[in-house]
Amino acid sequence: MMRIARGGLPRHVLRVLLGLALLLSPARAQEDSKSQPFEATDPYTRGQRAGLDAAGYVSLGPFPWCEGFTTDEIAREIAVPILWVETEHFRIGSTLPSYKIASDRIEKKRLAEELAALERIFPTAKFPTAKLDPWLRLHLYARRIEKMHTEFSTAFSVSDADFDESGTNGPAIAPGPHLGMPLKFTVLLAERRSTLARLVRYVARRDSTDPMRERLVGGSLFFGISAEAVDSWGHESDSALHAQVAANVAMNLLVGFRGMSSPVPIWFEYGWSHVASRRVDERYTLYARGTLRDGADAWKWEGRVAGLVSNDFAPSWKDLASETKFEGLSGPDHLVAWSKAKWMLEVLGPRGMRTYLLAITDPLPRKDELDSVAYRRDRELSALAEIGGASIESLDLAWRAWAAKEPTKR
Amino acid sequence: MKPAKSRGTVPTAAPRSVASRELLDLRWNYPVHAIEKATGSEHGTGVEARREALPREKAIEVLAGNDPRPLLVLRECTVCNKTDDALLSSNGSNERTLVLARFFRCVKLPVDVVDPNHPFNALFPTNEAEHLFVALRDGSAKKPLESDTSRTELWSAMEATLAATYGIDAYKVTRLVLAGLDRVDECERKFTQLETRKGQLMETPNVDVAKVKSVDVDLETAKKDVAEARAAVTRLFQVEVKVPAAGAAR
Repeated sequence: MMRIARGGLPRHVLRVLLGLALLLSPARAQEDSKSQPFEATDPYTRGQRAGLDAAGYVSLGPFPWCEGFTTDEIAREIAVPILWVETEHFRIGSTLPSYKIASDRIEKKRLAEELAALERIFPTAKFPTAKLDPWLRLHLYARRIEKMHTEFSTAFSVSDADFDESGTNGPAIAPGPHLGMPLKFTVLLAERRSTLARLVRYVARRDSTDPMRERLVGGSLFFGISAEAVDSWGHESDSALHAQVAANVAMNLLVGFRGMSSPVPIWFEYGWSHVASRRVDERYTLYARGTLRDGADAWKWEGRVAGLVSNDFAPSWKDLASETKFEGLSGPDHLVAWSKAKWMLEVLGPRGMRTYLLAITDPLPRKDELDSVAYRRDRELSALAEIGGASIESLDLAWRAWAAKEPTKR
Repeated sequence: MKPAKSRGTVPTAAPRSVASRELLDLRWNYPVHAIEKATGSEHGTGVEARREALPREKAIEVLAGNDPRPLLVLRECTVCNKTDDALLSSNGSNERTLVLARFFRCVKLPVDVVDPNHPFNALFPTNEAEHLFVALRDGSAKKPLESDTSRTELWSAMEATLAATYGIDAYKVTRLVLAGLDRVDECERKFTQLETRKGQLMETPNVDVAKVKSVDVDLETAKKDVAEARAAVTRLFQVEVKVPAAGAAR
């Protein structure tokens, strides 16, 4: 079994997040903490097929969640009101209550754009101006999470057709229809830790109140998080929660690619997740252990990476590819992993990223004496050199030159 | 920006370090009984597994699992649904409660436990039932408690249960743990300062590399100090039960 299937979030990540509660800037908004029943019928789609089709939904439930468990059964066990939506690639549950839109400029701007897009989908629905109701939050997250899938597919030039086993599009990359996984990806957005804990206990027989990623029975990659946990790290805003969802869904799409055929390089897993998280909001890259700093501009990472480069403290590709555990990634490693992932996406382009992804997820040869770590490191570096058309050392130089100029582009 | 309103943060007398907060972390268990009777069920077919209340003895047995610790069982309710209010105080230090709780198997049951068909209903049969109780792991020596129970009464009930289970003077152990946490805080703060300093130096263009190396040496020492301080507190929590817990619940 792979890393993700074993442990959810590494303990060190949680330590970082606990630390943020003590050290980071305060929250920007408050959620309505009163218990409230959810409207039985979605006021936006009105539960009608036309509304669901307009939004690109398969269903608002009930539906099977993973092998052996339906949404009805889960709802009964967690014993709190929950909303469901099945999109093209995900099954999502939400117990998030209403959210009072904060005065934060960045968040307001992003929400305004997102709501404008939703208004085009649901032209006859009434949209609140100051508050997001539970159904609206579900629709927002459904779109956000589906967008992650689109971004992944675009970045790595892959599509559902690559996993079509009918033979129409040539041989499938992997047997599972969902990027190689047998079942759709699943996401739980819980208001409270206990809801997440009960769902995880019920469907995965695991004990965790912390955000976690897990392979569920039948082959669905699951991510669950509670707003209560993010609050306890000092962040009540929707932006902070959204950024954590983006980071983890991005990781699940990457790790699940090709049916979890091989462990993904840890530096790239986190580098890619930081890219995804920072596309949402650069202020909440909460999984980057050791990057926390005082100062209003600490979240502007370009300058910090440039500093590491100028002092020759930036880890090389060989250094990063040699690391296999999250605990082994230092603050500079996280900063550089993000920067190098960003460089790869920009410079190598979708075709190059597809080749890279196929190389790092190629199933490992079954040899008892195989040094899996060395094998995976060497094949990754070879693939990078081949795609970049230069030695790995030359690619390091190219990245350094690029990273040194990045702060001026902001 | 306004101060953080951290709903999930437990009030303590003084801000503790990350390591201390982790050591004080209240670790709830959220039992779901359907798992225990899932074999041969028809999950996933749209047919719901039957839900029925367990006898009290069986309910206690399921909650205790293989854990030798005594039980601290809390039910959520619609009034104090958002927090651990029935156990923790919102206007005072909870450190003593949190330290004592580490010696219990802490179980939190959902709001619908008062439903007659809920598997654990025998423990909280109606809305009139207490919100919390502590008991030996077989359910005996149960001490019902409420959210408005005084701290003194709460601690007294918890300490009596711990004395019966472990044969320890829980008050004395608590004082040792809190002193240990002070040491953890001191070491952790030093480590964090050094780590931040090192990062800042590394990211400052054209820095004197010798300065980074110097911080690195101090950082290694600080890291060892943190590990030792944490281990000392962890050892205090590692207490064996006095006698093997016996038989059925009463």
